[in-house]
Amino acid sequence: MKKYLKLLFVLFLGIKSLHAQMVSAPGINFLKAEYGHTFSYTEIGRSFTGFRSVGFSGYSFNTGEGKSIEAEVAIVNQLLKRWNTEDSQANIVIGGGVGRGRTGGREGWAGTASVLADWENRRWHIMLQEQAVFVPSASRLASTLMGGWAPYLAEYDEWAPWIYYTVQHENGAGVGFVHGPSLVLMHQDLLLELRVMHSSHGYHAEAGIRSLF
Amino acid sequence: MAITPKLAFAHFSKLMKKLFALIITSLCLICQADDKPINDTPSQPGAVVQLTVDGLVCNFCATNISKTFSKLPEVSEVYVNLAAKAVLLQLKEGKKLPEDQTKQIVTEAGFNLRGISYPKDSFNSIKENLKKSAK
Repeated sequence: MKKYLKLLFVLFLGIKSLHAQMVSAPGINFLKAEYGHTFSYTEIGRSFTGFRSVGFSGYSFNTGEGKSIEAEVAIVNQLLKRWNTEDSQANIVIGGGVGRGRTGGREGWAGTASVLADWENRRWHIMLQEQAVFVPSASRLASTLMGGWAPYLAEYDEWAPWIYYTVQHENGAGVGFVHGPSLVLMHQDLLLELRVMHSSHGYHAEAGIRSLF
Repeated sequence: MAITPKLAFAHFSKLMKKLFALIITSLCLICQADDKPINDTPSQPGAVVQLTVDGLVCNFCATNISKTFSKLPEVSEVYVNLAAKAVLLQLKEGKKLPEDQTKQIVTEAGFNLRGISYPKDSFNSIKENLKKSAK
């Protein structure tokens, strides 16, 4: 019973998570920011245990129907399960949050929820994420599949390049499928990402940064 | 006996020699006394601990575990090698990190501790060997 109450509590608070890395070791802070043709997103938080982090995030999405969704929410990310082997790691992370949002001149409560599953070793990384953002009279649902490959195995104190391909589907009628390659550079506690995505609006660039501190 | 300038100079010279010898002896004793605390200062490196950690596969994993151990008062230096899945800890002089505590820290950071060893080689020597073996 306690287990189900705990799950309901997390889902109720529920918001988004983005990456398994957004739940870090105890006492580690994180920052994540992304900017694209149809969205911008910022999240800052702190992991209080190795399995839970809390923070704040701000979203701005263009639904593709001439409407924009904006929300600022307090978030909780919960690592539900992690598998560690000698050469790989897999995670299931859920997240959720509540805050304020607005669309089309209407303002009210906003909520977010997400579930993420990923598997990685030093050469490959695959991630599947479902994410939802609810604001008064609108919502944004996105499914994302990312696959990454490291051209060479860099050490922790070297720049580590990764090449990803992302396929994303959004519920906005004017958006639909978005896909494209990205280059990710990691160095110790810093990650930089540059994507070239293709949607029904044509090609556009997206950029992201993530850091632990 | 009359004190001539020559006699006074000779007496002064003897006195100065004794004084010089006393100063040199005192300085030697002071230096020896100073040497002891220098050798015993906490800046001397302590034991080296090498961990093998399951799930240590990416930079952010390495950052998590590196920052976690860096915060410990017992640890003066941390090196993470992804190829060997190794975490190398340099402990401060006279400090110890019990195995149970080490395992708990690794688990709480979200990883599994597979092995722990206490090599006799220096921190830098092991670090260089790990770097070479990763190439």
